[in-house]
Amino acid sequence: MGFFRIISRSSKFAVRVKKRFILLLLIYAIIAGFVGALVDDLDSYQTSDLLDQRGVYIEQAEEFSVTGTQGSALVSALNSATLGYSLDDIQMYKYAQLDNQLRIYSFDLSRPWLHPNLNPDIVKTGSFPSSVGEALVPMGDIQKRNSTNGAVIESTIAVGSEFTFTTGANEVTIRVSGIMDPSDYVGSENDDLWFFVDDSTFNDILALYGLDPEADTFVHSMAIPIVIEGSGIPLFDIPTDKDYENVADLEQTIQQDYLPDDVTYGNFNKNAETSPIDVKQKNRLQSLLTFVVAVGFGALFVFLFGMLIAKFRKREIAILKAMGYTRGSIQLSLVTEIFTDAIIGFTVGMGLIQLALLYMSDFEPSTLFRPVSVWISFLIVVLMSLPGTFIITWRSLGVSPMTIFRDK
Amino acid sequence: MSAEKLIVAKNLVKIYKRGRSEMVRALDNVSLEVHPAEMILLYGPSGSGKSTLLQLLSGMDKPTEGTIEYRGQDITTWSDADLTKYRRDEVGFVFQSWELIDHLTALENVEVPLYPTKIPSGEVRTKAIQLLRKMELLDREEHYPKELSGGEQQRVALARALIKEPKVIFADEPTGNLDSETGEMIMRMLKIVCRQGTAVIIATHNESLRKYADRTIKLFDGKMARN
Repeated sequence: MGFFRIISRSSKFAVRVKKRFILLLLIYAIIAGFVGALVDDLDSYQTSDLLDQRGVYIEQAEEFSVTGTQGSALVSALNSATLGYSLDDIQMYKYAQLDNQLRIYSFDLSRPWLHPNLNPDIVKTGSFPSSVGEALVPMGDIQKRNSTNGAVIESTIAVGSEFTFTTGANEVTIRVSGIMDPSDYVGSENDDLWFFVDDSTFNDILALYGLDPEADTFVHSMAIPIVIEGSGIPLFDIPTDKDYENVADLEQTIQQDYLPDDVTYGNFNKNAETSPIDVKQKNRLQSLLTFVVAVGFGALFVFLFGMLIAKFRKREIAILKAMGYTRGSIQLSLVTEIFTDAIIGFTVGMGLIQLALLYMSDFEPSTLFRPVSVWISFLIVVLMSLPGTFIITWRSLGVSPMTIFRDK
Repeated sequence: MSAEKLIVAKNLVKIYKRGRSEMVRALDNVSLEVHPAEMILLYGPSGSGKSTLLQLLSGMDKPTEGTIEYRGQDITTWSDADLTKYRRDEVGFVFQSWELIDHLTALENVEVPLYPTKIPSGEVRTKAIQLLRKMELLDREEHYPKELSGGEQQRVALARALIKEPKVIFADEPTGNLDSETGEMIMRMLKIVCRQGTAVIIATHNESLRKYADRTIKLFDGKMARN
């Protein structure tokens, strides 16, 4: 009876002192918005970068052995198969031989880490392409030359060099953003000119040369990411041994069921790849980051509420103690008030930031925080504040009421 | 006066530390007995130790030396939890500056001591309203302390002390901040409470209140001057 009465009265009194309520509400609203943005960002980081970095990698055994058409057939077969786990956007890495010494390779711009060999780790100078029209090229002296279809090489390749492919009035210009060591990539030949460009630029150049993106291309490798379907809570959805087992299963399934006997799709020497960046290390980094964020905000709340309670509630604590309230009853009363203020502040802060996001994105619903991000933020912001309140008030409760009155 | 002894205090000494090294002897070897339904007036000038004595007897502070027995048990040896129970179940305290909770109405301030108890809310509300009626404050029940006069706040504080039906009430300068008429009214109410069986111990520097007391104890410089 007494327990529930304290909770009901305290939650009612929480909003009654306007000045204190508004101050607490503002603090909670600001921090809720900030933590929400941070958590949602961490959430995105995990799902878009971390989880994509594992899967099966298939590489062709011999040059020109797998055509783009055959690769597309395998992608379709895998996509329509029931494998027991989700595949996410199987990526074909194609290439096309434009002339004897000129070859272009494609990669997925949005997933630079998906390929175990062709990724930012192999860049020696500059940076891995990050936008349409940027290219990665092997290092070494390149002679000035004009290809039959007009790739004009003006000088030794350097970061920032531009190349223009022209056919009649049409042209595609690419800019070198990074240079790689050809020995890091299988089969490179120094006297060849290779451009590694994004899928879109790759198709533009093919069109310029009048080539078919399926029939006139080859697949040098495929990366098949597996979507990790764990607890459903992204921040805690760290890949487990089961996920690695799924990778091995997928490799076996492809070999047994989907690799046609009459076509050499490739060897599996590099199967079941994980990221060249140590995934476990990245997990640890992420866990640490989450921990630091959570504990950091927890500590901040302890500090803030320490100040607030010391300022506003000391006299009240003394009065309640004088009337015979136990430590537990006083704690319950204060914690209920703080909890009520925190929930209202959190709701207001989270609501305002969501409205702001909607407004800034022309009311695009996808910009809203994911529900799981909101819940995690709630755990951090609201629940972490309670131990802080508890710890700070505990000290005040340990002294006699008259000591508090005298201090005042 | 009952022969039963409610409180027996022996040789109480209270020493406070003031600043870094100065020690203040607020009470020096004070002894007294309190019986049920007795009204005792502790009177003396400011700094004589009367408020300190009330705080020790009510379990809000502990003496440096001496014993305080409540119904035969020495409360100076009690734990913080036991003293909390003593303040909750046996004692009512009325402060000179009333010490009402600012964000609660008069009615809620009276109810507050019973919130943690198992008494049903309806019963708590009824008791609080009855007490406010006795204090002639029923029309002020929804007012906050800052909307009440000094006399009204003191009556709310008295009602808050009474709602627990304590065995003994300690009142520290209950008329100190009031005009003489309101002060007389408060004293009459305390006298009624006393006649109903509750011991009342009042600390005051106002000698004119002696007419209400069954016994007067004069304190001076922390020592008992007259009993």
